[in-house]
Amino acid sequence: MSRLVKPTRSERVLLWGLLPVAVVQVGLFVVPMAIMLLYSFWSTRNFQIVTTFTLDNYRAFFESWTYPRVLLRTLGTALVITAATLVLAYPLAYFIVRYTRRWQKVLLAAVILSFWTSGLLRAYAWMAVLGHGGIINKGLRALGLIDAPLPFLLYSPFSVVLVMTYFSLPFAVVAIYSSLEKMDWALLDAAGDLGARPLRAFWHVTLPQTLPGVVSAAALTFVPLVGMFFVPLLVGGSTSVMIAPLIANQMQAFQLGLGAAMSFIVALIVLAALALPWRYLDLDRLER
Amino acid sequence: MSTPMNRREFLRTAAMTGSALAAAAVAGSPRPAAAAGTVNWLAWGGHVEPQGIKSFFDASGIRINHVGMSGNAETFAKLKLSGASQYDLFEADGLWPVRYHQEGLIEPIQLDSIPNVAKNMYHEFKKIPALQVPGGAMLMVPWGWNPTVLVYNKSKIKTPPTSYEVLLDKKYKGHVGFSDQHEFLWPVAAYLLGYDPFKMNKEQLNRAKDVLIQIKRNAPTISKGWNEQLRLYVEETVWIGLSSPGRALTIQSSGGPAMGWERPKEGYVGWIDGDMLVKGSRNRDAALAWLNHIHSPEYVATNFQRLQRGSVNRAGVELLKAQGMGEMVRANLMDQPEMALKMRLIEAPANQDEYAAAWNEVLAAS
Repeated sequence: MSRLVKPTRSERVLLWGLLPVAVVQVGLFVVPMAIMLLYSFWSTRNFQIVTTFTLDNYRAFFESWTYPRVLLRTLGTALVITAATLVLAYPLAYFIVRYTRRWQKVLLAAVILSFWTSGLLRAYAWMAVLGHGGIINKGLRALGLIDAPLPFLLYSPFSVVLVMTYFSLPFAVVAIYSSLEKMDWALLDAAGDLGARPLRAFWHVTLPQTLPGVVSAAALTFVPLVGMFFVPLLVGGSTSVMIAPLIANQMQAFQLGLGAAMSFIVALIVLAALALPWRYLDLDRLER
Repeated sequence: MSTPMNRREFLRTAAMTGSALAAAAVAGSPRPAAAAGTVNWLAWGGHVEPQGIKSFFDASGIRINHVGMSGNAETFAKLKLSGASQYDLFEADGLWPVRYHQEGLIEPIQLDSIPNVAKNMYHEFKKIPALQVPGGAMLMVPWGWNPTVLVYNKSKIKTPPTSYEVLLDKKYKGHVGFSDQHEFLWPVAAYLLGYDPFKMNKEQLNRAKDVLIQIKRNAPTISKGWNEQLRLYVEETVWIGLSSPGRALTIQSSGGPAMGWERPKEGYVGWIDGDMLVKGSRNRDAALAWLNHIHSPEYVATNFQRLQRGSVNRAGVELLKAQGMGEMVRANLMDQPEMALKMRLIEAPANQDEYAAAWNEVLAAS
């Protein structure tokens, strides 16, 4: 049996110092989740909360294909966007780390510059670019290339993927950048010296070393996408509603039980998505 | 290259940051605002005129604390859950005041006790039977009104549409307006099916739901709010949808195409909105003074010039005409108050939960 070690004075001070963090974590995560779980087993009737335990909300979610289909659509869209983001972010981060020693920080700052502006404004800016009266459609019409606006540019799966990829890109670039920055590039040179072609060297040397960064980037991209509210609402089509706007609508209509049950189902999926990369995150790396 | 942080350093930094944030939060907590001389007004943003608030404060010393509100059902749910006592005045549409009165949240008002209302309001709006209680007091002080009719792009739709069926026409796929305002969409399906818009049972709701899903499939997106709808009409993404006569004019004056409007033959709904006095309001006199102020012709003219909708205030409408805005007055039916009382007013369905569930299925449908 392991012996309990009494914390030293400095460790006790440290633990007390962490108290605010714990309070915030409990107050902003554990308590809301617990309330949501409780509400998911209650119902509402004519603007009244009925506090009788019921599984009706979960039943309502799964008994028709309507809601699971929206959830699957959301997860599918989030997966596609996550993949697109990683495909774009990795080469960009690689380029910044490997080839731009002098401009590295400037380029990284440029990537995260978009965070300085409100997300809502950026979404509206995209609408101005992609809309029927937007720059692209107007430009193509002025050049005589099209007669009518291209309908797929806005309010379509294309616009949802494009705009949400744009929103996710900085998170992924930063996560992959930090991983690439710590990489031992001598190993890549050694692989080359031993005859490995660039692609083989990347697959067997670079990618395994940066995998924690890739996994972090995937998690940082996928999780917010599942709960993304305003982008699908603004640039999405009428028949491809995602789960977050639907939950918001439930709450606004005082359907708190079903809204909470839907939120909880989504939260469980997000937690599972987080648990997966956790396996790959080597915390001991922090110790070194 | 940055130096990796070890776990101990990480915890120490986190602890120090946490302590600093906690200290900053304690030091920076806001003091409660003084409540005296303040009217807490839960109202739609469109009704707020900053200059009017300032002139009222200059004249009376009473501050107006405006809190923005959204839809009727959402506001009702919020006030029922948390109580209305944090406000002195709040707003609603159509017959929603009846629900608030049933819940004991509001105090009916004798409109003639407010000088500007007594003097300036069209008499038609002072006695709306559905909003009156025995003794003649009204559940709300009416403010604006609008019928919800078909508005359309004249260059794209040559024949004026006279029926809601036009919204289901496949040749307009991708060009039909569809907003998140279900109060105005259920009546479309209900009228097409011959049902009462606000008294549909579950089976009727199911049929109405299918109609709305078909209309939704003709829409490019589900628009949120008037500004987004305006952009869609101006850009000519949307050619036809539901709105008010005055807004057809707004679309044109915002650089959009020539617009027309028609009353659908199946029937249509509309709304009269206004302010309600919270029962037991702590600032009752100040709240009534504010209502008196906003019913001055100057406040009304400024507000309706911007809002473009029907007004209940004769003096305000006359002022707009005197300012050379007769066309706008006519386009918004401001000089036809009798029209407002011919509309079927929107109301809260008794089976609100079934309506909400059906609407969610409409939104979720592919």
